[in-house]
Amino acid sequence: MLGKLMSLDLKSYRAQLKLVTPIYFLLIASAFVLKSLRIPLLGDFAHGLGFLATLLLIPAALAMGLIHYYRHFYTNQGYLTHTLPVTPQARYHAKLYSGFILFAVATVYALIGGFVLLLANGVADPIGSLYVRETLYDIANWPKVLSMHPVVGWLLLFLTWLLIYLYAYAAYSVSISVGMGKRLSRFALGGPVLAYIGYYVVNQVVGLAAFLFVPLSLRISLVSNQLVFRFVTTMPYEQLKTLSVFEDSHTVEDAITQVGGYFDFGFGLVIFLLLMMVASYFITNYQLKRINLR
Amino acid sequence: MVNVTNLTRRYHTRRGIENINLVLNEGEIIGLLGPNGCGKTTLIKLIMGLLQPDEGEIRIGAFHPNEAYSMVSYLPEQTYLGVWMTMDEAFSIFSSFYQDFNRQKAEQMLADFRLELKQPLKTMSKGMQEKAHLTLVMSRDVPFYILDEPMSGIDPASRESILEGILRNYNPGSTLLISTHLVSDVEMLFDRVIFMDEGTIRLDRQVEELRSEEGKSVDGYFRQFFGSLKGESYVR
Repeated sequence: MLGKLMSLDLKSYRAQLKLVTPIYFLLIASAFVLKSLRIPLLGDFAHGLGFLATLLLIPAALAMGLIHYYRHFYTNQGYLTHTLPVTPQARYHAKLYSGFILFAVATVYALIGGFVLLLANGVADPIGSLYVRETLYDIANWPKVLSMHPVVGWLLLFLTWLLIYLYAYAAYSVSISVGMGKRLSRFALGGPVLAYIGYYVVNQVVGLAAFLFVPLSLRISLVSNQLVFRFVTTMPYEQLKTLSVFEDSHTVEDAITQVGGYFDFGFGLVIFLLLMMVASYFITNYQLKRINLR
Repeated sequence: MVNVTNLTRRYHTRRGIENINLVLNEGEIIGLLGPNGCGKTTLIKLIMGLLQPDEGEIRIGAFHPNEAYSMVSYLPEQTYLGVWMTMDEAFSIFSSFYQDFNRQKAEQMLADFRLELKQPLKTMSKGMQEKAHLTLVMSRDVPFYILDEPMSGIDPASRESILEGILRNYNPGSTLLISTHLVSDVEMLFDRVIFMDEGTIRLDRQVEELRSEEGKSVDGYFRQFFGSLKGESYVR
């Protein structure tokens, strides 16, 4: 049944993608052509527009997921969604996975678009292919800038990408479901807004406290010009209260030297965010079991 | 078939329903009648598990409403399909989720309503959309059908064809609950009528008994009943 629900969600996304995809790639193609032809003002404008559209792709995919979640569960379409013979958990998971597929598609689009925009810059640049090769080399070797092993760097980037989606889904699903629940639904769309404000405040206050005062930190220190990561049972607040003036530094190494040779990143924040996601899962599922359609 | 016990649901700004007790038996066609805002849709949404009661309990057979969706075919007051959808796609969705969905019957019903399989919903009028949704609901073979205001906002000519659609495709032996405030159009269907007003059940009677004892049609009695409740004649 999960597959059928996902297929229902994906049909709805496909209808939207049919509109967004040609517009986006038309923008990118125009940027490529106009920039390559070195048309002074128009080329830069089209390139800038293409860049902006690429930056907005992932937030737009998340917004599409959010709107779809709301429409499928809490507008007229909810009368179909909630009377299908499936469990509330299946409905929740179908939205989670289908939204992730949309998020992944947006990422692929952004990568393709970014590459085309880079190529356009390369064609427009007098040293052309060298510029493209160097930029691609820099991108591929970004972990070295942070003195990290490439595999670790790329794995961290992938995990961050995954967490961005999971965290966004947890935030909007719990805000909408609590906001459209029995207590807050009388405020119509204000319900999810109020629920999100509550979620945001809890995140900021408890998240900051977890970051500063939980005695578990990821200590990033500099040993023989290499960044070394290890867990220590120290509160980051212990280090922060000893700091006086922090000056601008150009490299990570400089910054770490300035703060005494190591930097403690409060791992309590990561644990808190993971706990928030788990809590959101249970709260949202509870709300979906006790649906109240307007 | 359906047992409703001490059911209460209150809203913040308006009346919901108060202490409803009801048994719907197998094979009955029941008219849930009352003026707009009397609590019919609230009661139906509670039976469907789309609203949660403040007090009381509902059982469909042995199940809680949320566990009984494979036994119930429901036509809500609102249209619920995505506007981008065609009936062909809607049939595919129903076929994949409901084993009891009869596609052949649905296609026949669609042809009777003179609707196209490939026509997107966004190009249909309100009456056509109502017929399209009714096609989906009546093409399932289930023990319990709920139709919430199937004729509201529909012109008289279309009402007749919708009524025919219900009669022709209704599965004898099933329970059919129809909520409406347009009594005269559908009263010939009913075995039993329930009058609701201000969130409570005011009358629950067999239609034959009502007609013989009161000497009036259901519509006539409905007008008299609600006219006397409001201290004026009830006007649609």
